[in-house]
Amino acid sequence: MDTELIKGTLSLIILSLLGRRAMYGYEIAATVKKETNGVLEWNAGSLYPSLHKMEKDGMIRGEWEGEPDTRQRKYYHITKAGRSALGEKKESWSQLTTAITQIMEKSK
Amino acid sequence: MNDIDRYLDQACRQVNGPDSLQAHLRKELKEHLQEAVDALVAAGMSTDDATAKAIEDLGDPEIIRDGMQSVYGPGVTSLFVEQAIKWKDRRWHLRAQIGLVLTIVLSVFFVGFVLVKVIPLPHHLGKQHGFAAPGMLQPTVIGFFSVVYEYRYLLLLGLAAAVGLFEWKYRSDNKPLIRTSILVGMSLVSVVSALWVATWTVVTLVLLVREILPPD
Repeated sequence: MDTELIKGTLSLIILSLLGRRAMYGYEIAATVKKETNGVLEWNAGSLYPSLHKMEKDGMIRGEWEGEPDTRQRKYYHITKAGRSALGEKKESWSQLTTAITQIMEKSK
Repeated sequence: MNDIDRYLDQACRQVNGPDSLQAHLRKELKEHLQEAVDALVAAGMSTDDATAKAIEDLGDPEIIRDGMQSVYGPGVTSLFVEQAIKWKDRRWHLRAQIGLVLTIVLSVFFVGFVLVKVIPLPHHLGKQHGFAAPGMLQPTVIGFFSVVYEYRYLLLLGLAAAVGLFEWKYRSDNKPLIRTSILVGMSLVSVVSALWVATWTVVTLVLLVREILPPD
């Protein structure tokens, strides 16, 4: 699938997943791959910088969990600002897909 | 250094921020890779194949680094390091390293020559011509090098061990650059030392001659 198209929707996907529950990076990538049957699969080259950008912007909050002597994972939690942004992004996405679908149907 | 460490080096270097930030990025990516390797091994893959596949799936480390730099900014020395990395051409490094080693060797020989031949000169002259020669500024200026000269074999052994350990153990794509950087530092120290010794030798020899020669 067009990776540029995926990149544009990355923050929407991440916020949607974290809207369900807190997840760590690998889990986010694995969940997207599994739930889309591999159609949406990106590499960490896009995922981790996006997670850090969103954390810096206050959309999500990362917290290391697990005992220091065992495996530690950085879980990302959606923040209040993130939930608000998610609502707006969902609305924009809905409008965009509707508009594109209409164009494509008329172009048949 | 294994493939994962090498990958993490490339992905996390030159991101602006405290060391703790780079350690944090490294830890997060390492955790991702370990998780991926575990899943692939559980699916029946060998550890080596799983590691290679996990790294491949994570993608080009330069993309991660560029992405992180766009979030946190490039490291302060990024421009210099990037420029230096462009000079990674082996021939350039080899020529530079030969030149630097020659500079160090010449400086060391010069200091050694002063210590062995020039410092005892007033004493010999005094003996030959029957006068009591005053000493040179040996304790204050040359003292350090005298100690180095005294323990030269021990120091050479230590140096050889350090070089051997570096060449044997250190594994990094930037190895030639690091080797050249170390040699630049060593050659600077040796050249400054040689100039220091040369200056004080000339000064003390002039003072000595003025003391020995009868005034007109």
